[in-house]
Amino acid sequence: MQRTLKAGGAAPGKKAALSRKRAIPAMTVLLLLLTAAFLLSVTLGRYGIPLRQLMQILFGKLLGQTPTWPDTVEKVLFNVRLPRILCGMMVGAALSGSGATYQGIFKNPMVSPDILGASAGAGFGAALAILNNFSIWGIEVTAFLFGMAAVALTYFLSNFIGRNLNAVLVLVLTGMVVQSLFSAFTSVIKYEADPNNKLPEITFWLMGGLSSSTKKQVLMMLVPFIIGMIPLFLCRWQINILSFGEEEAKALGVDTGKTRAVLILSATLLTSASIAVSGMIGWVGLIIPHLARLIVGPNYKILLPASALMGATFLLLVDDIARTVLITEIPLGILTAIIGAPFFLYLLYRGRSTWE
Amino acid sequence: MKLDVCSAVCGYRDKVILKDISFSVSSSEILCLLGPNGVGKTTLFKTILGFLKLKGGSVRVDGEDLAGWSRKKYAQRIGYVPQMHTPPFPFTVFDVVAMGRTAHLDAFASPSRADLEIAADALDSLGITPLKDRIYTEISGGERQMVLIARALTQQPQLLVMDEPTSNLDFGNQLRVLKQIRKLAGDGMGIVMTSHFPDHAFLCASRVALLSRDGFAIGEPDRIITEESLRQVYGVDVKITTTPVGGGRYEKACVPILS
Amino acid sequence: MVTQLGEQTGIPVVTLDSGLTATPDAYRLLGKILGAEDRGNELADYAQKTLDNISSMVSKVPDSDKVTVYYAESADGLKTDGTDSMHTEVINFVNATNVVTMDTSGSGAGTAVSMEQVLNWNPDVILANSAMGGSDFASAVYNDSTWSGISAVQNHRVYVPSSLPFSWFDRPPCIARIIGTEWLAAKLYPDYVKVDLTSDVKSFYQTFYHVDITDAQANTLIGG
Repeated sequence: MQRTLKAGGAAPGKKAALSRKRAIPAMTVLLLLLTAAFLLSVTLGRYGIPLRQLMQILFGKLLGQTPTWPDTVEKVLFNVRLPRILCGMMVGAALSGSGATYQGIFKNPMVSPDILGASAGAGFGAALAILNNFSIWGIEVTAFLFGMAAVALTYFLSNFIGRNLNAVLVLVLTGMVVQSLFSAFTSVIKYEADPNNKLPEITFWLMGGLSSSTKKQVLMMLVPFIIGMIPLFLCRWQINILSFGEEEAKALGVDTGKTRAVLILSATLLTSASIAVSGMIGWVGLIIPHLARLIVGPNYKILLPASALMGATFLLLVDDIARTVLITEIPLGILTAIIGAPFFLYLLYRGRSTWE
Repeated sequence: MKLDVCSAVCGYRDKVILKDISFSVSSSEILCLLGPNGVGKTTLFKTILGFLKLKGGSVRVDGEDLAGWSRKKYAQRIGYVPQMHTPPFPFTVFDVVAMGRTAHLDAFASPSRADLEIAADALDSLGITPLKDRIYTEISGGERQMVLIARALTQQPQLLVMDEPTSNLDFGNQLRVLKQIRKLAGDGMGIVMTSHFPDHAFLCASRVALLSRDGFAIGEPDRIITEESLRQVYGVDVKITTTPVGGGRYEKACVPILS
Repeated sequence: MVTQLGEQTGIPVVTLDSGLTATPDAYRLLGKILGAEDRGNELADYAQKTLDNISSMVSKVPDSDKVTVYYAESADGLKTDGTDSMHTEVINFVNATNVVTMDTSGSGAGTAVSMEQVLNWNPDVILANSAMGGSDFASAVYNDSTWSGISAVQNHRVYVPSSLPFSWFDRPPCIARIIGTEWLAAKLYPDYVKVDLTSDVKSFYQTFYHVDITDAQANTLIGG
């Protein structure tokens, strides 16, 4: 075959439409779903706003009209509800995106974003900050920093311990150790904490929730979100290759060490920021990529954006339940687990053949 | 294309497995690495592929030292066909083969239409286009091996390194893969393959390297694979037969003597 | 668990009801057990007197004047406890209404509510617990545009119960609630509750803590 003899060069041309034909409808559907969920969420809330007034305010603001509506209603919409919706979408997308990425890097569909210790570290950071009377910002920043630190610890420890060929396995094992360590430290803090005030505060924070989302929070989440998401999106094709294993990926031309480092850093940014903003929310990073894979297939070119969109939609809808069904809030982490666990069982049942 | 291995010393961190290995492989040649388990076949080809660092000596392609090549450059020149395995995710065959183009893509790109055409051609050249849309994890072992070869071909390399390409395959598929390997070499590809079967070396190798604990012998199959050498290296008794297969051609085979 | 503890240690174990209104009985019982009946009765009588006094005054508050209270237990102000909870007994006692009517007694950690819900309730008064970041909340709330629409904020009725040496209100819900009840009643219903807070605070600290405090100190505890 003549063609196989030529030394290959970068093939020019526009992006292929071959496998995209199936994908486009799926992505469009997901985007529409997210938009619908967004619109629905804007109308939901404990502070009832009649639909007509809602539209009036939204359009009025858009067109720069002078307000003819009550100040409080506008505040509810723009200071409370919209920031919360935006945070929810970002956290959902962030957790799902990083979960999907980790599943590729670790060649395992059962992996969640916590695997390298980000959430255990962030939880510890938050507990430490609460114990020392930090402000809300202080708690969030500390949680974020400790989340990053835990993963950095895992990463550098595993580099020190392992050799390249077992990189992935050593990462996972080191991650487990770091996770346990930080969880243990958190338990120590809980033990030390005053059961009358500090302990409930810590417990509360760990349960997860978006109730304190403000405009400022949206901005704080936006920066790591963008910085984290972009590399993941750029490296989508490479994640495909990584999922075949270290040697094959290398042989196919991927600088596995570097790519993995970039992906882990980005995913950790996303995970740590999400936990700092909304506490520990499990299951989203594990289930959504799974579900996305069942719907759009394992090619990360589509899987990654699909996971992000579905994660945003999912968390948005779950948070709607958390903040409207009862007078008090249902902790988000509990809801995602209650909804997530049976759903996961269902996925396992449905997708049995997928990983046999 | 010429691959030169010069006085290579191969091993792991603190252990030297092979010393003073020298040979070369050119386009259209098939070099078969034979030897018992643990003798260093895997170490050798991993070193050629750059998975293991050379402890001494050098490996060159067309005179250029491989040390310090980026993974991308490696992949553009040398293709790796691993043993058939099961990856965790259900990619389509076509997606798997297209992954071979990664070596020629920019850092954040994915395959273009032209890249996908090259992948399609690779499938075609191996006669497995009907498998295109099947799920890789659901096809048979033999079919998977062919897909992996197609993937390596998509890299448009000058040399193929194949790790026991007939392992895990049934008899029919073994022969089919060997036939394919011969065809690839006939079309100009240089091939290094490891094998457990001296018979396979007779079937397709232009040269054989027999590794043993005592040394490294390389040369034509007829000269290297003898009853004496096999007894020495594997510790078994065989008779080597020559059978006419029509058209004036002969094939040699090893007949084991078990009693 | 109590009997188990007693059996394991061989020491008699007594449980006391820590409810607000059970305080006098608790002290009388303590006095008997510890052989300090005089002291027990002294404290019990004091508590009883205060509780009875406040109770009779607040019972005169007509429904139309009843005050709604939201109890903020965090720096963001969105953690609270409901009307069934032992944490908020004082609110019920002084004849005010805890806006959180849901049963939250199961959760020792408090319950979260959404900002929208708080805006919906529009409480007349907000109590902030300094132990849980409440004082941060209290100082920041007047500058927060989201909270500014609430009646309690507009009327400057955000109060932080004192917590020296222990909280007058909750976390922990302790004996200082006796003076805390009086304090809260006076804050919520100044027209109906006529007491000399300064002097009562001093006498409480003297009786229960054996500490003499000055008028100025008492006023600091009482707050603005």
